[in-house]
Amino acid sequence: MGTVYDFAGNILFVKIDGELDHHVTDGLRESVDRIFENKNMRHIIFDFSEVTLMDSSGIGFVMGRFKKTDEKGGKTFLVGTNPYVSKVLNMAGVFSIVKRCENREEAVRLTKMEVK
Amino acid sequence: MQADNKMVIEFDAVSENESFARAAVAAFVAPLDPTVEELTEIKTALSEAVTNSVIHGYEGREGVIKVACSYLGGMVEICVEDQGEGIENVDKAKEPLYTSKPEQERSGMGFTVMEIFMDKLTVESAKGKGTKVIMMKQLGR
Ligand SMILES: Nc1ncnc2c1ncn2[C@@H]1O[C@H](COP(=O)(O)OP(=O)(O)OP(=O)(O)O)[C@@H](O)[C@H]1O
Ligand SMILES: [Mg+2]
Repeated sequence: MGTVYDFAGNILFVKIDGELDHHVTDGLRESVDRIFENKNMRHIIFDFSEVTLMDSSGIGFVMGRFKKTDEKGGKTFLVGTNPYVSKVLNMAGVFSIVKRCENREEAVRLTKMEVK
Repeated sequence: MQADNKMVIEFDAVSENESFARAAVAAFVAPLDPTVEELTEIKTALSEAVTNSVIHGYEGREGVIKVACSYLGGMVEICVEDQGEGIENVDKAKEPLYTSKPEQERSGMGFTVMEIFMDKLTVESAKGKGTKVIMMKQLGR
């Protein structure tokens, strides 16, 4: 249980579990942003494989972190989103901006590709 | 509405209670043996309505949220009510991507999620008069 943070170079990994709602995102936003700034990270890879449910609070949360990484010339990736979570993110067109990856390795590989 | 079973809960408008409301409604509809998909959709839609009452209805002030749930056959009805701010223009509020709080990282997709995950959505609201959201979903399609 709980959020797991991990680092590799300038990539911050965040593994979230349970139900991602307004209450949870309010707490997460603060800690993710603090770690991202303090450790001088550039990319964020979110592992959603243990996220069972997500409401629209998750859309704002993901887009907000995308903006943070974008400001640093970095990228945000999502790994392991289940069909319900994907459906909510798709409603807002999030996947046209934040890429969904099969696994962590693929996401790491994509952070290394400097495509405009 | 005529019903096989019904329940009402009232709780403080604080974000901790969003998960409580989801768990309570999930337990209440359990006798209908919903699929994982149906249950996830109901819980997500409910979460949208309760969160809206916390964030927009009371805007962090004290208040009470009432959730009423009933079912008749496989038809589930959920009603979420607050005595908060109310909505001046409901049609505009329901538009995808419309939010009055973009600075709080809201995306304006809550009503859209409710509409897509449930079969029917009715919003009764007026400025200063609170908001009542009624959602219906037919299980076992
Ligand atoms: N219970 C409520 N009381 C007062 N205003 C509300 C209520 N519910 C919704 N609104 C208004 O309707 C707008 C749209 O709601 P909706 O849930 O679609 O988006 P949001 O809450 O702003 O963003 P998101 O749900 O994506 O985080 C809100 O921004 C708010 O102005
Ligand atoms: Mg909302």
